[in-house]
Amino acid sequence: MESGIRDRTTTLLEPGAEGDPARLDALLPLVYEELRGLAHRQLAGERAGHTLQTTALVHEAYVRLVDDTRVTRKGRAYFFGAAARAMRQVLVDHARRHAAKKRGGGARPVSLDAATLAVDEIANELLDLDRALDELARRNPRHARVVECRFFGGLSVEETADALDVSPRTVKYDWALARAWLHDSLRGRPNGADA
Amino acid sequence: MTERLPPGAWERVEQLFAEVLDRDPGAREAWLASSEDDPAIVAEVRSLLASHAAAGDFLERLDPDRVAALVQAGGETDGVPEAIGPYRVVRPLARGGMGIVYLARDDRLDRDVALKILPGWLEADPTARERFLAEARAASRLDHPNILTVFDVGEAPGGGLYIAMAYYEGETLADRIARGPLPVEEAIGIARQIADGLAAAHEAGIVHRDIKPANVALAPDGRARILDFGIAKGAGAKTTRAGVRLGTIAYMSPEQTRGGTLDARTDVWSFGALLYEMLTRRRPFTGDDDAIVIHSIRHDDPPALADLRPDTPPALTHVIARCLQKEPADRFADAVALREALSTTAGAEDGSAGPRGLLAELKRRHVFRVAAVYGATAFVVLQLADIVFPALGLPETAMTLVLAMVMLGFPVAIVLAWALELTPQGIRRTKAATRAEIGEIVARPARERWPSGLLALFGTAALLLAGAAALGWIRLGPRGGPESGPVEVTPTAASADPYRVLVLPFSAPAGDEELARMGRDLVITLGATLDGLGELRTIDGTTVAARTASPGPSGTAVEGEELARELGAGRVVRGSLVRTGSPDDGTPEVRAEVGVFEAGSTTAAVRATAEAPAGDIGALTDSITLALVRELWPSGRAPSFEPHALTTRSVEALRAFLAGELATAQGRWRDAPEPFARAFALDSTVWLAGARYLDAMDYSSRPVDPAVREAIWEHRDARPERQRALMEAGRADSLSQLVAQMRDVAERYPDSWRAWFAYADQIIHNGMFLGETQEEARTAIERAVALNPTSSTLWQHLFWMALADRDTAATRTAIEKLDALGADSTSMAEVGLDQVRLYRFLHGLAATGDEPDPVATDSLARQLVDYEGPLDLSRLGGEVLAYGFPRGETALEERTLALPVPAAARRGALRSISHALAARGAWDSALVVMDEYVASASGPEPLLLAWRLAAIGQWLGALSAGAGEAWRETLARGPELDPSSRSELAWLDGVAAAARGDTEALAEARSRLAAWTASAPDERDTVPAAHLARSLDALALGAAGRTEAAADALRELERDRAERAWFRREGNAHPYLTAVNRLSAAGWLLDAGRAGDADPLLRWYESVQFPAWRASRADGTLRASILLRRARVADALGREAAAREHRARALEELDLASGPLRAAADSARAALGL
Repeated sequence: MESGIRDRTTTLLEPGAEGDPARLDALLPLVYEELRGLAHRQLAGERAGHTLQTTALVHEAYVRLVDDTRVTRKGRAYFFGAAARAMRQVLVDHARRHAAKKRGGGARPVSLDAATLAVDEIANELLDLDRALDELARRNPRHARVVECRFFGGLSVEETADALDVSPRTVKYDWALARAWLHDSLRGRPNGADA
Repeated sequence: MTERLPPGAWERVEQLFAEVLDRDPGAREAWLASSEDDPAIVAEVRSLLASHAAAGDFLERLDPDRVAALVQAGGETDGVPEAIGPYRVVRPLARGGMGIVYLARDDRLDRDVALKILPGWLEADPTARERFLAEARAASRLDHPNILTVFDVGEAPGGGLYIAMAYYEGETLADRIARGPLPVEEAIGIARQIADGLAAAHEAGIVHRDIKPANVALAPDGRARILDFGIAKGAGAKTTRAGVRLGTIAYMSPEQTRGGTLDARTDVWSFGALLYEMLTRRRPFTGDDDAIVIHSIRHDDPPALADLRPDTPPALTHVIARCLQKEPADRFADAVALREALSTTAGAEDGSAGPRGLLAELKRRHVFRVAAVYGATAFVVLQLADIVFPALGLPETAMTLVLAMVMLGFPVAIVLAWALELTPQGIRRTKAATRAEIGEIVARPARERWPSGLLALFGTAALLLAGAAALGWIRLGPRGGPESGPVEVTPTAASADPYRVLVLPFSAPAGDEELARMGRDLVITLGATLDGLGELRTIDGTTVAARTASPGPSGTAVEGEELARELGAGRVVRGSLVRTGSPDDGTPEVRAEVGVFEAGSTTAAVRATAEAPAGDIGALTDSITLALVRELWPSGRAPSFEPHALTTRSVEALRAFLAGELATAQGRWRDAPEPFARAFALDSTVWLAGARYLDAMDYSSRPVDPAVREAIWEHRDARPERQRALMEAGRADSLSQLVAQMRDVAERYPDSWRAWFAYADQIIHNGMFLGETQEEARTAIERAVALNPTSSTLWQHLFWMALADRDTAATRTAIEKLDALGADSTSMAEVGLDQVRLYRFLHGLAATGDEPDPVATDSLARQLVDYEGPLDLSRLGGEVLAYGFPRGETALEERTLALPVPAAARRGALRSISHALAARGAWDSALVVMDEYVASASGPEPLLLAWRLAAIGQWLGALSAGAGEAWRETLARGPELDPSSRSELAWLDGVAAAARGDTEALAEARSRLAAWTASAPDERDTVPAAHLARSLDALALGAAGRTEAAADALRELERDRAERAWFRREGNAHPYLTAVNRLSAAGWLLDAGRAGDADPLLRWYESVQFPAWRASRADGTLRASILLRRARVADALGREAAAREHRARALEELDLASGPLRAAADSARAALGL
C-alpha cells in the first residue's frame, strides 16, 4: 500500500487533531476504500458460503492504515468510530448495487432463487436500516452513531464511548433507545403498545 | 408514531426513557403513570419501552455469512448494474477514488453517456449530499468546449448519486504524458485549451480544485476537455480543507496541503504543475512519501525547466514559474489572466531569443524573400551590366561601382525588410487619450514613430531602390494585405468577411463584478466606436451581448469562435480587464489588454493595451479604440476617427444608455424609455439614446411629443450608420415602401436583431395585408430570435407565427423560452397579466385541434376574472377566436360565466360566445346569445355591434333577410351616433341591402355615405367615409353584374388601405370592412379565372395584431368562410395540399354549421373524401 495513505491517516488521529471538525470527513474516504478493498480481497476467489466479520475487517483496516506508535487510545477509538461509519457505507453500497443489478435501478430486489434470496433479504434489510438510521439521526445524530459503532463496527460499549467521546452510561441508554426506536420503525410496534 | 409529538419533545422522551430504564421492570409503568409530562411524550416512552422489551437480539450482531454473501453478490467483480436511473449501463469504463465510471446509454435521447457513480462515503451525511448536488448542478451549467459537459445529476431510484456526462473516445492527458513528454507546440495547444475552460469556470465563480493530467480528456481531434468539474469541490470542501484526500497530492497547491481557504489561484498552481509535467514528463514536486511531497510543495523550487527541457520558450517558463509561486498573491489572479499570459507567450515566442525565434521572425518579416529577390536581381543586374557596359563603351570603373552598390545594397535591403514590418504586430501601450489626441495621432504618419537610425537607412535604401526600380527589374516583396483599410490580416475562413468584426465581452478577474460589467458593456460601446471605421463593420453589440450572456436558464451562451463563424465575422476582438493603481497619484485605474484575432486563430494578429480611470467606460472605450486604430492602420492610412454617437464623456449617461439597451434587448419595452431619456438629458450628444427612446415609446404605444421626434430625426447623422439606416427605413410613404426598406436594412446588417425584428414586426402585423406570406414573416422572426434569444418580445412573435402555422413543436419551444426568461419579462407582465398562461392554453388548442382542456380553461378563466390591472379584459375576449379556436373560446367564456364575475366581464363573455357560435356556423344561436348581450347592456354601441353581426350574417347567406331588424330599428330611434359609427351604420345597411338584392336601399346607403364623405374629417383613428363609400360603390357594381370591375375596384381599395398602414385603428372601428371587401373580390376574381390575383387578397387574416384591438375584431366569425374560399383558390392554382389543409381547418371550426354553411361544409367534406 502507498505509505502516504498510512501517514495521512495516522496524522489525522494524532493528539492535537481532535479539534478538527473535518477529521471525520477526511478519514471516511480513506477507511472506506480500505474496507472495501479488504472485503473483496478476503472473498476473492471464494465460493459463496464464506464469512465476513465486520469487526475483524475494521481491526485489520486499523492495522493497515494506522501507525499505532503515534496514536493514543483516544485516536484509536476515533478511528474505529470512523471505520464503523465507513463499514455502514460499504455494506449499504453493496446492497444498493445488488438492488440496482437485480432491477435495473429499481428499489427492491426480488428473487425466486434460494441462494440469492438470502442476499435479497439482507440487502433489503440493510437499505431499510440505512433509511431508518437517517431518520433517527435527524432526531439525535449521536443515536445513529452509536448504532453504527455497535452494529456495523462491532464495537463494545466502552469502545463506542471512547470513539464518540461520551460516557459508557450514555452509550448504554442511547443504544437501548436507538434499538427500541429502530425496532419500532422497522418491525412495527409490539401489539397493544400503540395508544 | 412520533409524528404527533410537539416540537422539541424528543429530548424529553430521551430523558424519560433513560430514567425509566434505571427502574425495576415491574415499577416502570407505575413511574410512568405518575409522570406529569405531556401525555403524548409519556405514550411515546411507553411505546419505546415495549419495543425495547420486544427487540430481543435485534441489531446485536451482523451475520458474517450474510455479509459475505452480500459482498460477493454485490461485489463489483460482477456487479455491473443493468441500469442506473434512466440510463442503460453498457460497461464499466474506469474506477477511481471518486467512484466508478460506466459507459451508459440514454435511450430517450439516443446518446452515449459516461455515468459516474459516487462512492458511498459521500452520502454519509445529508448536508454533504446536498452540497454535492448543488455544486454538481452549478458545474453542469458550465457550457464550454473545453469542459466536459455534464448532462444530468441525480439520485438513482435505488439510491446512489450519479453524474451523467458527455462521452468521448480518447485518452486522458495522464495517458498521453505516460507515452513521453509532449512537443512544445502540442503542450501549449493543450494548455491553452485547459486555460480556456478554466477561465470560463473561474468567470462563473467555480473553482475546480483537482486539476491534474488524469482530469483532462484528449479527444482524437485534439480537443482537450476538463473532467470532474465541481465534483472535487462538492465532494469535499472539508476534505480538502483538512489537507487530506484520495488520489495524488502532487498537484495540490501549498495552501491546499495546509487546508487553507481555496480560490481560483489553487487551480492556477495545479495548472502550472500540469504544464510542467507535460513538458518534462515529471511532476514538479516529488518524494517517496506524501509528507516529503508536501514539504517539497511548500518549500522547494521545482527542478529548472531549462535543464529538463532546454527548448522551452522563456516566456512559457516564466508563465509556469508564476503559476508555481508559493504565495497565491504572486500567481495569476485566475485562469482568465493566465489565458491572456499564454496567448502573449505565443506572440513572445516568435520574438524570443534563441535561433528558433530569430528564424521565425526573419521568416515572418519576409527577410528571406527579400534576400532571394535581391540576390536574383543582383545577378541579373551584374550579367546585364557585363553585356551592356562594354557595348556602351563605359569604363571598367563603372562596372566596379555597380558591383559595390549591389554589395552595399544587400544589408540595406535586409534591414529595410526587417524595419518595414516593425509596426503591425508589435506590442504597444497606450494611455487614455482625449478625442483631440486621437485625432492628432491618427493624422500623424506612422513613419514618425520609426526609430531615427532606421530612417537614415531608409534614405540610403530608397536611393538604391529608386535606381533599381528605374531599371525596372527589382520587385521587392511588399507587405501583404490590401492597400486600404487594416493591412496585415488576410482572412482564413472562406466565408468570413475580414472587415466584419466581432467584439466579445472582455474578461475580468473572477468575483470583480464591476469589471465584469465593464467587460460586457464594452461589447456595445466598443462595437459602436469601431463600427464604420474605414471598412470595419462590427457585429451588432446587443446581439453579441444576448448571445454571450452567461448561461442562464435559456442556455444561450455560445463560444466566441462559434458566434464569429455564425455571423460571418472575419475577426474577433477579445480582451481582459484588470485593475491597476496609477503610480503617480494612486487613483484606481483599469487596464485593458486587447487582441484582434483572425477567426479560427488563437494567436492575436494585433495586440494593444489601454488604460482608463476605473469606472469610466467612455474613456476606456476611447482609449481602446485609439490603441486599436494605431495598431490596425500603421502607415498613416487610418480613417478619420470621430468618436461619435455612443462615446460620451458622461459616464452616467452611458450607464443609463446601457441600461436601456439591456431592457430593449430583453423585450422590457416599458422599462426602456426612462433610462434612454435620462441618458439624453445627461448628455445631449448621445443621439442614439434619442433614437432608442423613440423605438421604446413607439413599441409600448406611448405618445411622443412631435417636436422631440423631429429633433431626434434631425440629428440622425450623429448616429452609427446602421441606426441611421433603420431610422430612415422607418420613415416611408407607404407600407410596401416601409416593408421593402426594412427588408433592405435587415439584409445589409444581417447580424442585427433589431433590424430583423423591425422587418419581421412590419410583415407580421401589416405585411399580410399586402399579400406577404406567413413563411416570410416566420423566417424573419426566426432570424431575429436566433440573434437575440433573450428577448421575450421576439419569442412572443415567434409564438404567434408558429401558432398560425399550427406548429406545436415551435409553440412549445417558445413557451418554454418565455417561461425560462421569467414571467416578468413578458410584455403583459407590465400590466400584471401572465400572458404565458394564455399561450399555454392556445398551444393546447393547437395541439388537440381545438379541444379545450378543462383544467387549463379554468386556470385561464380565473386569471382573467381575478385580474385587477389597467387593461380592459373584456376586450381580450375574442383573442382565442381570432386565432381560429372557436371551441376554445366558447369553453373559456362559458367557464368565465360560471365564475362570480362583474357585469362588464359577463357582457364581454356573452359577446365572445356569440361570435364563437357564428364562427362555428351556428349563426341563429349566435343571434340568440347576442340578444342576451344587448339586453344586459345599454347605449347604442351594443346595438351597433349586434346589428353588425346580423348584417354580416345576411351578407354571408347564413342568416335570412330581416334578421336583427329589431336592433336596427332601435338604433334608428335612438340617440344620434358619433360620425364614425354613423358612417359604419350606413355601410352595414348597404352590405345587408346588397346581400338581399335591394338596390334601392343600397343606393340610399351610398347617398348617405356620399353626403358625409365631404364633411367627415379624415382622421387616423377612423376609417375615412370615402373608403366605406368606395366599398359600397364596388358592391353596387357587383350587384349590377359587373363583377370583375367590382373586384378590381375592391383590390385597389384594399391596396390603398394597406399602404396607408392604418389598419390598427381601422380594424378596431370596422371589423368587417376588410373581410367583406376581400372575400367579395376574391370570389369574383375566382369566377373570372384570376385565382392568382385572388390568392394574396386572402392572406390578411393570418397577420398578428395587437390584443387591444384584435379584441373587437370579429373577423374570427368569418374564418371558416375565408378558409373555404382559400381552398377554392388553391384548387384553381393546383395546390392540392394547401387546399386540403384549408378545408380540414375550416371543417374543424364549422362543427355547428347549419343552412348554407352546412352545405358548404358538406361539400368540403366531400372534397376531402370524408
